[in-house]
Amino acid sequence: MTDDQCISCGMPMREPKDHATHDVQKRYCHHCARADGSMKSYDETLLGMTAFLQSTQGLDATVAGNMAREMMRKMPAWREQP
Amino acid sequence: MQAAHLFAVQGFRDTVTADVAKAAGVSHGTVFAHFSSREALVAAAAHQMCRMLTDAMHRVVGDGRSLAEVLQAHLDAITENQLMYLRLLREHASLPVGLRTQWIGIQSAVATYIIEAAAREKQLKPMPQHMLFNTWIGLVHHYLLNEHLFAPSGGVLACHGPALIDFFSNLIRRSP
Repeated sequence: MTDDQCISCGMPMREPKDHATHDVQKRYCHHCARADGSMKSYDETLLGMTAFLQSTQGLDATVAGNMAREMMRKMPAWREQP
Repeated sequence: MQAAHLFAVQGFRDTVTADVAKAAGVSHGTVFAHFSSREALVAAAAHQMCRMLTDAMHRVVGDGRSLAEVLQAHLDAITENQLMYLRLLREHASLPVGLRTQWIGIQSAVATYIIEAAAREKQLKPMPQHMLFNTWIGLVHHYLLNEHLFAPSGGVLACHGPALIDFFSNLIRRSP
């Protein structure tokens, strides 16, 4: 098991299959990868993370969006995002 | 981590960095050599517990274990970190937004493992994923927060865990 974390969403990447396209050189996870293997944009990731919080815990949409934004604010991929 | 233990026992608000330095046997300045702020120290302590929780569940789910085994792993991981888990459970709403977010994030991560294990079970009642998780975590948190009622000598999840797992498993299954 490795100690990598996705630079986009923070998900632990413990095994190759957790990485985008199963490539351990990629610093983002398979959830944050598009079909072509490239990393999703900020807006795509924000939508996905918001939906994730809603589907797993049933959070209010606005609350989920704010939480997702706060989570992403600390991610290496999005620290420069306004 | 001494800091994590102090935060768990004394609370996030009531633990100052001087307490952490004293417990660790280092100078106050040494604490800040490693952590830029008190908030960073608190976040690191909470992160450590959260990571232990998800690592434990990742191992069990990765092995294709049953829902009951995954739920047991969840309870075991909480028990192993009970002081810190309870502290976060009680105080997360009043903590800085970063910690509140971390708490919510870890619950979603745990939910994912439980939902994945449940999806492998047969004859489940159709229900929204979040209701499945919220029902389980609601039960667990109720027992944790009221340990003095259900297990006054301690070890509430060890004592009632099997019954909770059994009840929940039957609750979400269709009647034969």
